[in-house]
Amino acid sequence: MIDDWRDDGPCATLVLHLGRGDAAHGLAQLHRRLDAWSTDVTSHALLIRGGWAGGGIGDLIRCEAGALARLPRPTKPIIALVEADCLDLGLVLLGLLSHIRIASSAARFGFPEVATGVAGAAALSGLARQMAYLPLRQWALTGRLADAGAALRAGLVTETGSPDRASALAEEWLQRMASLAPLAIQSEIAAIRHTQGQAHESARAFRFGHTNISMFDADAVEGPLAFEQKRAPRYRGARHLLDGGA
Amino acid sequence: MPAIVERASAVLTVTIEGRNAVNPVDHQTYVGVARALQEIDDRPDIRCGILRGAGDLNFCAGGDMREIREAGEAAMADPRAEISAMFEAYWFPHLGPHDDTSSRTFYFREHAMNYRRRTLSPVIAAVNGWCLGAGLILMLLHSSQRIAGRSARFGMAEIKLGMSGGLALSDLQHQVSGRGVALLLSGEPIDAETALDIGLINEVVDDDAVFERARVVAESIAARPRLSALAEKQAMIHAADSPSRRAAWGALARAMRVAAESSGVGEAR
Repeated sequence: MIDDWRDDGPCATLVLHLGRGDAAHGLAQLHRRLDAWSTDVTSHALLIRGGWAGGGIGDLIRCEAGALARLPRPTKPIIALVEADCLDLGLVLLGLLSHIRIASSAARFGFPEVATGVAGAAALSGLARQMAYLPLRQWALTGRLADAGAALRAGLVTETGSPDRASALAEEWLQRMASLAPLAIQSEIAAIRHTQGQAHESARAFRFGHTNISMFDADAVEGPLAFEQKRAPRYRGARHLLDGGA
Repeated sequence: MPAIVERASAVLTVTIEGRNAVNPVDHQTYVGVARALQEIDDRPDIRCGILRGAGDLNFCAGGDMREIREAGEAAMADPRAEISAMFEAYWFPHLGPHDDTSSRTFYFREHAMNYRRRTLSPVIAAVNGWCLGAGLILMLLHSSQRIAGRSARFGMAEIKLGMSGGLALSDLQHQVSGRGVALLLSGEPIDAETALDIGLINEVVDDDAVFERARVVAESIAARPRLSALAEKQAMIHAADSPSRRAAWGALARAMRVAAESSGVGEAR
């Protein structure tokens, strides 16, 4: 499932390859890699690119359905670049893992496996709380594929562009997210994930407590100080939120 | 003068006045604006409010960096005192402001208390130029409709400064699409057209037409029965706060009953 892995200081890149018939094995491989990355305090953001099509939920269910539920969901920023089709298991992984999504104009999204009698992928993906309801329901029920523009309008992807532009955008996002204070961005991602779908008052109360964690950190003093002194901040990010803890 | 309040017919305009052209809000300004907005709810002769930035070039570029840093340093020196002050203010707002305003816990305590306040009457935000951080929070918490100039920029700059934008992001998350949250997560500002796309604002107009358009919208709302507009906004807030659809129906029913019983349906003025 992983074709290539590159570490470049605070940025890491994973090239994904979803093949038919090896979903359980591939997910175990992805699990180990994400586990290692999420505890690496020197790496601050990850770009996942490559092939998001080819893996089937049917394969996974036949092998080991629990593998998806056990997959680590790091709170460090993950950027996904979708250059072609993002289907079935690929779309589920996109929904579960990534926070920023860049789609090439050649990209297509959907759950075509529903036509072969495999259902439930849309629910597994967590996308119901991340994008517009009606397009997701249409994709899940009909198996029809949506283009990048439709995915943008539905709120599934963050930005779109020509293949070259999309690749450049993804690299820009990777650098941008890696430059943020690690604790602050992890705190945000964990809070967003935790409060998705919650009633507003509960979400606010959760965030109120959660925000305190990053307010009482050296980075929260360093950022304003660097701004006053008109220099680049030097974040330490010594403390990291526990993955999956929120 | 942290906030200017002007009344024209049944519309009250609250102007955020920072110490320079981008209208940064220090703690005193934030509290002043929040109190001025409270007037819109408190005065029966007011039916709608407008929130704008002084000078019409910028709405508000965010908090005062020095004040935030000093509060952060104090917090790190004695986190237990700061945390307990914040939690007390958030969960027990009826205890009111702390007597000792020289206390270093004052910043967080007041901030937490103001965060729980929301204007219940309709408020139109008229946004030109920068709308960042604390400015975005004021817009999110208090306005029901937002009109922006073409050159307006919106963002959560706190994240780029090592802080969580947490409190405002919970409101943001409930008001814009998932794409919008992702875009603002980097701390980079977005332009007015993108803000319109993600559902953060209602309308984009020419920069010099923002306040006039806000005034026209506010006048049209002020011409409607006050209580029905009030009940509608309250029902929306309660629906977002309700843990279930059934509870949201209950909130709606209560809001409608209040409007109907107060002045009679059809003449709820």
